Amino acid sequence: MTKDLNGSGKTLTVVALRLGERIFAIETSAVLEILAPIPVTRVPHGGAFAQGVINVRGGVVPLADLRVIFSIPKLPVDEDTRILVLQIPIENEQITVGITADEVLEVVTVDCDRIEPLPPAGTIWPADYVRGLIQGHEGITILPDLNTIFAAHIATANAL
Amino acid sequence: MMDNDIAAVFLEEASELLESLEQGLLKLQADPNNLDLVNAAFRDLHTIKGSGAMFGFTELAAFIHKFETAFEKIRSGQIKVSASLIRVALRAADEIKGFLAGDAAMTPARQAILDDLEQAVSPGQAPVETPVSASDAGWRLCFRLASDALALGARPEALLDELRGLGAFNLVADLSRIAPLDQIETQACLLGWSTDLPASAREDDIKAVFMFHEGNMEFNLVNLAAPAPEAPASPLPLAESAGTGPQPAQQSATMRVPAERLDELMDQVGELVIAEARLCALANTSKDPSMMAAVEDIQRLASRMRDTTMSIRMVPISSIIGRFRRLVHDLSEGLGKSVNFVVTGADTELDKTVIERLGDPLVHIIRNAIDHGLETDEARAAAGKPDRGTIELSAEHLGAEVVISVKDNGRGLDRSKLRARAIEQGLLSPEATPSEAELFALILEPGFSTAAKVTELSGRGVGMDVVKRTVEGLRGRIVIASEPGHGTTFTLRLPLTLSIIDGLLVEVGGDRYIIPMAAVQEIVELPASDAGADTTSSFLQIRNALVPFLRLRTLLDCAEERNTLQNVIVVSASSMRVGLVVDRILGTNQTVVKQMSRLHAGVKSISGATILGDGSVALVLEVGNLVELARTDLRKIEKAA
Repeated sequence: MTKDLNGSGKTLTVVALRLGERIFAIETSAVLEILAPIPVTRVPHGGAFAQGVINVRGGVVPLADLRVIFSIPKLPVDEDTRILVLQIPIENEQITVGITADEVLEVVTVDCDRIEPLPPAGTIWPADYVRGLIQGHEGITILPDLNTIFAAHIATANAL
Repeated sequence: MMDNDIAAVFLEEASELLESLEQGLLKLQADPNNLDLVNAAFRDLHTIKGSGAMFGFTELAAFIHKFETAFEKIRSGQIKVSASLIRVALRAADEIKGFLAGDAAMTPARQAILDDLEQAVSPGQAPVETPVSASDAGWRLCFRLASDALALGARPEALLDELRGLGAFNLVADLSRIAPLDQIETQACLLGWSTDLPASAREDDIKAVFMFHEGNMEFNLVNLAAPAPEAPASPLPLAESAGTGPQPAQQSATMRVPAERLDELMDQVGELVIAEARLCALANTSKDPSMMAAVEDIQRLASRMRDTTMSIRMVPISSIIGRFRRLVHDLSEGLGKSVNFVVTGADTELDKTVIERLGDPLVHIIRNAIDHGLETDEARAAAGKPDRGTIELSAEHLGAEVVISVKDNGRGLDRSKLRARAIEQGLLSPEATPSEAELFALILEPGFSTAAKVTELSGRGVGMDVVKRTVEGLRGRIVIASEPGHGTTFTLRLPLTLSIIDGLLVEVGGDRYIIPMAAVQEIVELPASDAGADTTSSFLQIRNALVPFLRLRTLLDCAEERNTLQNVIVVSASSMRVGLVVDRILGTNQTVVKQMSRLHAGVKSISGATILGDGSVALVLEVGNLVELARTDLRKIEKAA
């Protein structure tokens, strides 16, 4: 299931980032800015995924952690840690969120033809949360489906 | 583009006029002899017609023209206002709404309404006011101000308004003394007027209108009951505009501003308050007296600016009450229940955004109250209750909250029926023993409805859960109280504003939080004897009263344990006094509350976040919900005490 990514000849420009030992790719069009670590305010009972909020240019932005979704152990903040501020469309509305990355690697352009669907079995990740995989020399890059991930989280938050 | 803008302005203005028309009609029903109201309705119609025609709503203009014709008969006193007339007129007003919404054709249904309207004002059908006859024909007044009156500050249009207030009709201007253009003296008042007044107008009242001009004007008042000389020759009808356009004399100077600009201004004031907090922190560290003085000035200005900006955004709740009057009127007719609609505190002001979102929930509540709450007239009579049901809407400020309640004096909620229904719906387990408030709160759940049959109006279980969601979205709460046989009260408690509050900055477990100042009653020290206790809450004795207290460390999930001098902030929440234990009080500040993102919609104990002077984010505690959260614990303590 590569969803909207079929079609030969098309390319996708992504930011590659590292979470633990895994490489993820997020479309550059969704990225507003990349910040060095800043103080995070903890939100009590906010849940493991959206534990805190940060100040991004005078706005209060929730900070989410994709490591929780993909069961990746958390590393302490170090000099490589970054916060990516993203804009994600949820139900006709753009919401601004931050996500933590253990390291931001590079911006690359990939051919959509190279994006493969997630194998139906043998994966620990919820299939809905992955748009596709890219095989590379250094291993597999995961294209997370941020819209679905955040929409699902908001749905559970509202149900509380 | 420009045209679209202007058309939008027309549509907005027209819908305001329509609302005013609707209100006027409803008031007219209560006060059928008030000619002011008739005139106001007429003016509204005429303005919509005029500007409608200008913007190409020709069918609409034709429709209103007929509407107007019918009203002209009332205005001229030929026809008396009747309930049936008001009913048709309201339907006609609805059609105008349809026209404006883009459905511009003259349908047979619309024609039928016009026919009804015509019927309602044809003398044979409606209860007719005695036509103007010689016996009580009223007055004929001709007057002319001194020619220097305008230069001396006289306002003929205001005089004409006053005369209209007395019921003047057939008002015409006498242009006979206007000189040819090349000889005209622009400052001089060359017009004269003549008008008819109803017999009900008292001579003294008519004369009082001219009290400032007495002795310096031509004034000729004739009682038509007595034989009278002819009116001045060839009076020309006064241009209708005098009686139709919006009346500048009665309106205070206002300006229409797009709401987005206000929001923008509010955002900027918010930024200013944050920047000011940062500046203040800097000045305090520098200890430079001249800088501190400058900062004080800025603080004062910023806080005044905040207040002014907020006040711009405040609108009285009366701005949405019009809708409810119409709703009550329609429901009362549709269901055949006589209803008194009583409003108190209509001038209570609330933030614009809050008011806008409050309209629909209140409509639902009122609709439910009339449909389900009130009994039929017969049932009321049988129960020995006053024959008219009453819906009472009241609004008032209470601390930092606005409390709006809708009260009916109907049959009240049936506890056993509620309970049975809740169990049937799986909302309640059969052995549960919910408190009264908990049981009542179930009617706000999705899909819950006890209406035996689904009516067109309510009973589908849709709506009340929307009410709950909207109110919670506004950081408010709903409480339902009910007494069998005496009625039900819905009470909505809402924060005054969603944007800027005075806050108390506290520290709990290394994190900083804001507690809204309006909720704070007093601050006391936590006695050392209670400091180490590991229960969630217990009691504190303050001036002979026992106040339960909650440890915020526990409520806010702070891992780290501490000790030293802790403070207790006594707050009022959910109509009780509760102490909140914090580690440290850092000070007070003005807080720009930013909404939490939807990712944190489930965190009910936080109402928003703010940015502190040092750039970090502090969360604003929602005291009411926080206390609710711990309520079960509190109840246990209360029982123990």
